Parts: sequence; structure tokens; C-alpha cells
Amino acid sequence: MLDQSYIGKKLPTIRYQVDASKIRELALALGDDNPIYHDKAAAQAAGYPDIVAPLTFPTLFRFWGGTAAGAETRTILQQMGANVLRILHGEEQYEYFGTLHPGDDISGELEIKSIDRKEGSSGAMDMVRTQATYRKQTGEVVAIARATMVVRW
Amino acid sequence: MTTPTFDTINVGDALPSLTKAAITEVQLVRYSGASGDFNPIHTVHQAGVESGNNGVITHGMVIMGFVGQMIANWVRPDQVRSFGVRFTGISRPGDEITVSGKVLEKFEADGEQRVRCEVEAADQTGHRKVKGEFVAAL
Repeated sequence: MLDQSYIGKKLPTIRYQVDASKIRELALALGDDNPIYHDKAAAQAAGYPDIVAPLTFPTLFRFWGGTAAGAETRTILQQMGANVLRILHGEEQYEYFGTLHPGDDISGELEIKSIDRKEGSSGAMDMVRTQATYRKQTGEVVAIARATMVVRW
Repeated sequence: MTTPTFDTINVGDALPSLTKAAITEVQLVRYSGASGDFNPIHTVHQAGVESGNNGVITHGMVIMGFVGQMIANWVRPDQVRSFGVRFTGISRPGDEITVSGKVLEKFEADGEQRVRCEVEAADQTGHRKVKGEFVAAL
């Protein structure tokens, strides 16, 4: 059983500084050679102030952005009682309100919204739904990210 | 690359598909470093075995990243208003992923002309890995 007291609990603040090398590193890992992720001049020609982050970049916030503060998703799930080797990713969803560029200083708070027990053919699993609202240093909300992690027992 | 326009897009239109090179173990190591997701089930063979798989499995976010690549090949990232997927199958090194999609709906919201599209990713045998939707302003 996961620790249900984490639902709605205030967790450490996520902080993440977007930089060009991390944007390129993600695009390279995915094998995505779209020049707007790699080349400032190409991004500017496309109307951006600088290179732009790929669509799945906000997921880095809850990993790298949580390591210093102990706000990393896996750390939290472990604290709740999950076995890391038994965690699967169920869903990931973003709402976008702007684009991410080098120099953006992101902060956000991850919240455990719900934990739902499901009895499957291979045993019980808990569906942990999370939500985080990410703001730039200006206070502007840039993205809301929701995830469902599946914890198997 | 020509960005699609609202008037020339029709419900049911297929989006340009994207077929990726086979996933490699090195790619999973690179994605772990890039993303900060160091769950060993993606990089350490024995951890993959202990997790109930025969070896390492791909981060779901690698597959979603491929889907994101396909979307941003069609529209610009700043046109995308929402993007979500459900992970429906596990991928392993060697899988060759193809991302496809189609237009589900054309509508207006917040003073914008938008399209809602379905996307999915499947391997070379047709086994589906993710299914989802995105909304873009055209």
C-alpha cells in the first residue's frame, strides 16, 4: 500500500534552468535533427528568440529539476513505498501556454492528485496521478504537466 | 517545410508519418542522461530482468519524444496547445517505431482556429506503444 498521506501534500519545489546544451542533448537522444532545437540562427529564422525546447522537455523538470530538492518523482514514489523496479509510466499530458528557451528559470510544485487501486490479472497496482504547474521567472505559467505512474506490487 | 493551414486541412486527413531508426541501448543511456530519468530498468540488464522483463525496456518518454518529433515536423512547437499520450505497450532496443496520426476535429477556441489530432506509435510488427492526442492552433 502506498502512503496515502502524500495526496495533496506540499512537496519540495522543483527548480530548473533551461539551457541550450540540455535542449540539444534531449533532441540528440531522440534523434531529432529539427534545426530549431540545435541552431540559434535557424530558430531565429523561424521567429523564435533562441533555440526552442522540444514538446516533451517539461518532463525533465520533475527529474533533473527535482534532484537537488529531493522532489524527483522516483524519489517521492520510493518514499511512498514503491519498488522502483515495479514502476511503469501510464500517461503523460501537457498543456502549453508558451515556449521554453535557454535562460528560462523554471519553478514548479508537483502534487499527487490521487491514488487509485486497480486489481489486474497480474496483481494489484496503484495508479498515481500527478500534476505540476511550471512558471518562468516572470511568473508566467508556461506549462501544466500531468502524469500517471503505475506502481505494481 | 510548409506549415499546414486551417482552410486546407480536413477532418480525416492523415498527418505525415515518421519512421525512426531502431532503438539502441546506447540511445536509452543517452535519454537517461538527457532527461534525468535514471530508473535502472532502462539501462541495467539485471534490473530489467528483476523488473519482470527479459532485459532493459525503453523509457515511455522516448516513444512520446518520437511522437513529439512527428508533431513538430508538421506544425511549429509554439502552435501546440496540448499534447497527451497513454502508454499502451513496452518497447525494447531493436524496435523500429513509426508514428502516425490523423485530424479528428477542426474547431475554434480562445479566438483561434484549432485542430485536434490523434497520434499513435507502433513497432515494425504493428504492436502499438502509445496512443494520444494533440491540439494545435493553425
